[in-house]
Amino acid sequence: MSAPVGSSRTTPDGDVRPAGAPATGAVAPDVVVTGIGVVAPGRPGEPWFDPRAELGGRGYRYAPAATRYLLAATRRAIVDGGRLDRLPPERRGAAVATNGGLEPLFAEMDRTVTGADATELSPALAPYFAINVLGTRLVAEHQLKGFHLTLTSPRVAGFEAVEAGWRALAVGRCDTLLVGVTEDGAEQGAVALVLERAGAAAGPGHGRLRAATLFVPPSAVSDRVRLTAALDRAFDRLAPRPAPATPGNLTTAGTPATLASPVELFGDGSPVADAVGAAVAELTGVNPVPRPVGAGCLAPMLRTARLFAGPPGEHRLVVATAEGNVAVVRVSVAAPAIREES
Amino acid sequence: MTDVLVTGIGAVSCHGRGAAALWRAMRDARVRLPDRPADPLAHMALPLIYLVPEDHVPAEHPGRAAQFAVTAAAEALRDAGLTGRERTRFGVVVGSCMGEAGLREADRYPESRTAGRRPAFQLATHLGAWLGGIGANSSIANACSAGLFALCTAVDMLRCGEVDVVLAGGADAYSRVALGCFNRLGAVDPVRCRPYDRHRAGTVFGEGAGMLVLESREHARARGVGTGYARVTGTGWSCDAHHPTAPEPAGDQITRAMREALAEAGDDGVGCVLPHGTGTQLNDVTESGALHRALGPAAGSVPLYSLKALIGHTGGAAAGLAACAAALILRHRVVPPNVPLDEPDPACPVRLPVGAGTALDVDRVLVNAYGFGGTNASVVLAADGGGVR
Repeated sequence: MSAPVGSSRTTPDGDVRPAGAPATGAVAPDVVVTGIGVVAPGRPGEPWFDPRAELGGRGYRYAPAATRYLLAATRRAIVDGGRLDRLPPERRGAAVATNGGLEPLFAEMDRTVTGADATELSPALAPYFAINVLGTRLVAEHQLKGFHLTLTSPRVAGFEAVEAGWRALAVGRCDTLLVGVTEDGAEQGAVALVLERAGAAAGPGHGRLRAATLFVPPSAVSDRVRLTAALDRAFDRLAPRPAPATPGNLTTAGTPATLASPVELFGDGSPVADAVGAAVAELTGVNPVPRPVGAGCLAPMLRTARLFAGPPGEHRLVVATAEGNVAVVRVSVAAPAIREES
Repeated sequence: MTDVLVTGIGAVSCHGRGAAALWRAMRDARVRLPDRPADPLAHMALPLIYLVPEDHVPAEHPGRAAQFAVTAAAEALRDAGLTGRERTRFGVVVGSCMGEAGLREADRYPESRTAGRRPAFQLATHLGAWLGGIGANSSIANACSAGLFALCTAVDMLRCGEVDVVLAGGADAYSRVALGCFNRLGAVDPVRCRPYDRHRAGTVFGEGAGMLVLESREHARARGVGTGYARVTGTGWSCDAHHPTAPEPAGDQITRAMREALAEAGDDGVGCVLPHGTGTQLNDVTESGALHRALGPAAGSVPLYSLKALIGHTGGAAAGLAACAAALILRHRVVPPNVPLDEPDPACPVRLPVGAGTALDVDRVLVNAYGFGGTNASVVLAADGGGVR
């Protein structure tokens, strides 16, 4: 049953705040990943996506590929156990990430305008000039009325969406979150994650996912002390219930930076990526395993999904790009025996 | 809860650069007809847009949207008494509908190619590099409400203790694809941007950027700033989950976003509304109805300031500029006259004062922003220190 429009906002603790009451301060939420869906190419040359089989009917024939990947990944996440319908539509949020999800469409539309005339554009596709429209069918299909954010920072947008969604949970803008990442063109496919408050979910699900992003301008990579301190603060934010940020504090034993877990670095060989990799090695005591980062923001999220499908344990991912966008991520995979109970 | 202040503003619009230029144009309230972009490849019936004058932006940044964003950001920082290089936890959040689409479009053709492929949404990244410090950085592409989502995200970052100061707002520039698509959708008014006019026939895009410096009162005090332009006292988000372009007809979700922002602000009424008000038939009617549901009987008497009639629909920059305009209204304690309409639409029962300014009798301003895909945000700004800096 839906809450009356505008009558209240649920606090992060689950209490309903009457209209007119002061908002609470931010409260670090404890959320678990309860459903994961992946749509991605397998072996080269093999067919990997059948929209009619995935989406039924005509397979959303008039939607761009990135939209269809996102819809299909979300349906798979729900089949996997994610519940978006446990709460009223107003308490469900969506944070969608893409870099080039509509780039093939933009290029095609531009060719039409320059080579012919705007009257030749498809009226069904014309609204997609605004890149967030790629998620509109998703939020309509699952009635995600809390909010629909679209994040687009180069290569880190998927984790930017995780972080933005977590922040929205912290300030009480939603209680259930769909994080979706979709790309088309140089990278293809989508990942969808359903995140629910631990107290409301049926169990611990796949585990926990936290992300913190930061910006390291290429001009600042030589300032190793500041870079290391900034990364350390970012790792601190990956704790399940982080203490308030305290600028300048360096690592203490037991923080997410010093977990006994592997670290993987999605870098592009740029000075920023190299400097971040070196600083992470210093902070964690672990040499990061290099991973290829793709043209968009999909590759690190695909890896995250694969980690959740593997054995229980802690993993840390780092993304660093030539532009300066950086993300640090903690993937805490729950034990399979517990997962089955959910 | 963290008390969030607006301590600096910066604006770029078709009226030139600077918040002072924007305020002058608001006070003058003259009808300005749209421009035509110098783009020989723009094959469309109505290539109309309110362009930023060429001599009002620096050329050293790649792409017009980045030029606008940096210009507005530099002004906002100066206004706040900051350089961006202070040893503080700094954040940048930029909303944009199209990002640097103009560069991508230029790069597709040899005659206009610049430096090759690059991600479209690099405005926040570019601002971060321009500032030169390590900090938070986020790029939000929520269509025409992107600027207000950026502002709200900045507030949330402050409330979560992630940053001490945030530069937040929106920027957008001419895009051939966007304008072509709006032509195809029949959503371009052939005359001018004239929200709430009976004869309105769509909207007209505009270029620009609106950036604000947000910080906690505690941080502002620590550096000797007693009062800001305004306090951000309420924010509300919602999503229609309905249709790619059309607003949900009942306006339930835009009403909810307004009510949440008003409730968080204390629900003591507002002295002015800066509506989303695009000039499309359905948007203006739906928003007018929602205002009556959110504000009650006061909706018929609260003055609206229709900014898009003055500067066009600046897309992801629209709400950043609207927030700057709201800050100026609170500072001067007057709602400037609206750009005159030919004939107000009786289907939109709202008050749009023209001819002379209206005294701001309640020190709170509601700002609305809605985007394609039904992505809605509302913010309440309240005067700080009596509106006197």
